[in-house]
Formats: sequence, C-alpha cells, structure tokens
Amino acid sequence: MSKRARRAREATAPTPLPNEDALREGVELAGVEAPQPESITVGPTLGGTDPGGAGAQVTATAGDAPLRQASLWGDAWRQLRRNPLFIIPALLLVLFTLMAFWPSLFANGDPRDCDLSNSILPPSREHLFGFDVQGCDYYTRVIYGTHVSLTIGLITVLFASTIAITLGSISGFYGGKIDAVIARIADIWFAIPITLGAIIILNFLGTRGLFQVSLALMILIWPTMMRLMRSSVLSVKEMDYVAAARALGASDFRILRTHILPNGIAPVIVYATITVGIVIAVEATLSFLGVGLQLPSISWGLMISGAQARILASPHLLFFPAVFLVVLVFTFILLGDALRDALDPRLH
Amino acid sequence: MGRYLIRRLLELIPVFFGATFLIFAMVFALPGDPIRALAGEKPLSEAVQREFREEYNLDDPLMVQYGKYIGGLAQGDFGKTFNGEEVLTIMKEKFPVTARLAMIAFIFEAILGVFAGILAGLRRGSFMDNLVLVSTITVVSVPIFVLGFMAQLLIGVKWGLLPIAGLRHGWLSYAMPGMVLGSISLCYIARLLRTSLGENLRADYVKTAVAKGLSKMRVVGRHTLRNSLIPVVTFLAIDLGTLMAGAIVTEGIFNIPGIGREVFLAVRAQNGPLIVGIVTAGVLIYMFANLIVDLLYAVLDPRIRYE
Repeated sequence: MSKRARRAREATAPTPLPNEDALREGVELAGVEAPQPESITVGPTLGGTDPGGAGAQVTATAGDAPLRQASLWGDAWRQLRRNPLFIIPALLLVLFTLMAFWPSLFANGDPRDCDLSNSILPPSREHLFGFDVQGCDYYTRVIYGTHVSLTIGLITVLFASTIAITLGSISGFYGGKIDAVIARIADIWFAIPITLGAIIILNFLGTRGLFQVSLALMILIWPTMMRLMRSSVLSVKEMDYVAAARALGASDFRILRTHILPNGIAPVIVYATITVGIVIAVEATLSFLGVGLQLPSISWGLMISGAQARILASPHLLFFPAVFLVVLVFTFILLGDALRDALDPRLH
Repeated sequence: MGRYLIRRLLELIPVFFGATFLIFAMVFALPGDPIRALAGEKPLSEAVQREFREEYNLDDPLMVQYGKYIGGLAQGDFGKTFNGEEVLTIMKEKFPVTARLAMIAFIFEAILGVFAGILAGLRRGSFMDNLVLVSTITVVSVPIFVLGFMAQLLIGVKWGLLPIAGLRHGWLSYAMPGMVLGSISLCYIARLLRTSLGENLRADYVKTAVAKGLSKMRVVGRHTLRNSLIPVVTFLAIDLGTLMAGAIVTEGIFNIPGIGREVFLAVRAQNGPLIVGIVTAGVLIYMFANLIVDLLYAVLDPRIRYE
C-alpha cells in the first residue's frame, strides 16, 4: 500500500511552481489535481475519488461500445448543452475567435493608420474607445489585439498538451525506467518559476515574436499536464476492460488509443482549457514587462504597458485592453470549470 | 519515515542540478560578450578584459564554468556580479523586503481565504456559496498587473486609503502590494477549502458525530474543519515558498526593492551572475518548501504511511 499511496499522492498533488503566476494554481482551480485526502491516503481502495478513475468506471460499467449515449463524453455533452455557465463562455469564445481571425468584421479602420493630432483623445461617440498616444483609434487596436492573445494561448496549450499527453501516457503505461526518466525531466522544468523562466528563455532566444513567446511558455507548462496525464493513465490502466483488451491480444498502442486515452484524458482537457486562459494572462504579463512581444506588434499587454504612465490622465488607455484581456481569460476559466463539472461523474 | 525522507532528498538532487544548470546555460551561453556589453560605448583595454574573463571564468567551457560555480556555492559563495558586488550581499539586502511582503500576503490570503472557504463550503448552493464562487473565479481571471493598477487607482488615488508605491510608510506600504500579491492564492484557498469541506461533510465520521447528537459547532469545528484544512495547510506551505522566492510583477508595479525586482533588473542588465544566484536561491527555497509539504502530509494525516 505504501508505495502505491505515495505514487497516488505524487500524482494527485504535484508540487507547484515557486512563482506568483496563476499557472500552478490553475491545477487547484481545475480541481482535478487538488490534494484530496482520500485519494492520497487510501489510493487503491478509494480510487473512485480520482476523477480519471471515476470517469473510467462509468464508461466501464456502461460497456465500451454499444451504449454510446451513456458514455462519459455523451453525458458530459448533454449536461453542457443545458448549462448557461458553459453556453455563455462558449458564445464569447466564438465571438473572440471571429475577432481574432476576422477583425475587419468588427472594425473598419486600419489599426496602424494613426494621426498624431488625435493623441490620447478620450472616448467619443465616433471613437468609442478614444485614441492612444500615437493617435491611433483605440477600438480598432484593441480588436486587432485579440489575434495575438488567442493565437498564443491556443498554440501553446495545443503543443504543450500534445507533448504532455504522449509522454504522460508512455510514462504511466510502461512505468519503470522510462517513467523515472520522464518524471525527472519534468521535475527539472517544474522547479523553474514560470515568469522568471519565460523571461530567461526569451532573453536567451533574442528575438521575441509570437513563435518565441509560445515556445517559452510551452517549455514551462508541459510538466504539469504530463503529471496529470500520467496519474490518470495509472488509474485507468488498472481497469478490467484494459485487462480484457489485453487478454484479447490487443497491442499496447491499441489499448492506449482506444481504451486508456478516451477514458483518461478528461482531467487533462479540463486543465488545458483553464491553462489557455492562464497562458494568455502570462503572455500579456510578459509583454507588459517588456520581455514578450515588441512594438509594432499589437498586443493588449503592450497597450496596458503603454498606458501605465498615463494611468491618471487617460484611464481609458488602461481600461479597454484590460477589460478585453480579463474577459478572454475569464472565458477559458469558466469553460474549464463547466467542463470539469460535466466530466466528473460524481456530480451527476 | 526516515528512509522516505532520504529518498525524497535523493530525488531532489537531479532536480537541483538540472534546474540550475539549465538556467546557468541559458544565461551564460548567450550570444554576445557580457564584458563588452558591460563596457558600453567605451571599449575596455585588452588587459582589463582579460582580467575580467579570468575572474568570471568566461573562457572555460560551459560545463567547467558551471562546475566552478557549484564548487563555490558549496562553500556558500554565490559569486560576484559583473559590477563587482557580492551576490550574497545583494540577496541579504533584498530578502527582508521580499519576506515582509510575503508575510503580509500570506496572512491576508490565509485568513480571508479560510473564512470565505468556510462560508461557501458549509452551505452548498447558498447565496454566500455562489458569491464566493463567482468572485473567486473573477479575481483569478484578472492578471496581477491589471489587479495592481486597479488597486492603485481605486484604493490609492481615489479613496486615498493606502500608500500607492514605494516603502516610505513602513509596514503600511506593504499593505496594498501584499493584498494584490495574495489575492489569487486567496481564491484558490477558498475554493480548495470549499471542495474539501463538501467532501468531508458527507463522510461517515461526520454522520456519526451528528448521530451522536454533537452540536453543529462541534461537528464542524472539531471534526470536519480540522480534516478539511489538510489540503489548505499544504497549499499554504508551498505558497509561502513561492512568495519568498520573490514576486517580479508585484514588486515591479509597487516599486518595492525586493528579490523579484532585483532579478528582473538583472535580466535586463544581462547581469549573469546575479540572475543565476537569485534563481539558484529560488530553486533551493522551492525544494525546501516541497520537502516541508511532504512531511506536513505525514504529520497532519496519520493515515498516510510512508515506507
């Protein structure tokens, strides 16, 4: 029991990062990895408290294939469709996506078409958000700023979670030496604080475009997701249907792909959704600090940074990009929250 | 327990060397010549340059440089900055400031977080519960630099309640930055305690206590809350470690000369030895906090048995 318990404890309560970012705390927010006394202490006997394990049990009892409507994901979808706390952020996400990839739908002007004589004019009827220091229409710039935030958030988390899911599955499924090596590598990156680590990596890379910022954040966020995936795989692979598949002669890859992944991935998806929001916040923070994207990129972090010196005279320069930033982060955190509730069979 | 502790310590060794080497490599393998950058417009004479390279081991291969650094570290020598100051002296000067800020943030988040968590967790679905849920999720969505500006603008300028920045007002100057710094952890503590209370309130031993006819105060205070606080206490321990390692953004916005601001300035000035020194200290604090948490689990929850 002791080794098992320790493993479960390691898996469920990973040691967070020593920094002030919310990233590590997203784990607590996701609620999927928060240290829970039961899963720590009793591990195998009360394994049902582990979200992955519980999810797997539901699908297991429902049978693997024929009862589609009773699958974990089917249940989740049915619940989500009725949940306003899912529908509202989902609609917001659609809106932000349109804004990011088709900004001319929302703003007619050119964000780089500026007239210095309009410098820091306050909001008016024709120009709802006023003008920035360079005399650019602030509304247009804020709309065009969506692109950078959303792209970095999505790309970073997409790649980081792909790495994390692959490594976490291998680590959890095979155990032994591979597991030890992957775990140590993850530990090393995990010990580096996010903001500080990102600053140092970006400083090392020299140029700081969209790609570099994504890369730096990707390197720093995969370990948490990897641990989450690993713990999830560890609990799912003990299920009877995995043993059954193995007895039927299924290959390792097939077992992983058709049995373990669909049942074990839920906590990672919840966490990844929340992480998109957190990555967006960290990107803005880096740009704000002057170590992320550089002018002439159009980014909310840069706009807020520029507003810093005029916070009293022209609060609108701070207000509008900050509101957009907060709402976008909020969208992903709400989505993750709703997903977690829907994917947790204990709450059904 | 002893064997477990030793194994945990052994596991931390590769983490320490791995993390510090990564930082060391990224800081010192930078393209460009730090000595030339240090000299600025006016190039240094050959002899002075050679002396500098000698002093900072810049001509050695990276591994050798790192080895020498670790060798010095083992003797308590964090090295010298490119300006010739002892890194340890700088850290000794900045650390108390960061520690004071951390204390305020810690007290703020622990007290309010536990309070909000109890309010929400005891009555699921009540108005207070929803209020706590909505407000915590909202605060978490606000990046800390936006939160800092909002606090400065409202609490500092509009209402004039607290000093806005700097350290001229003694402990009072730490109040606003401390609250901003602790606000996000506060939300996690509240949510963590809410979840944990919710789970424990359904536990058999609570039902037994209620069935025995114990008063509600006693059931909640002595039985449920004590067990529910275990994850909160461990979170707080980790968070204290995090806070001690310095807060780059908060210290920057509020102009507080602590460790976080120092390391940020060091990165901008490309002052390699200072960056590596502070990050190494941070990694050590992080590892220590983790070890403490592992031990706390064992002490607080006797059901956990380590081999």
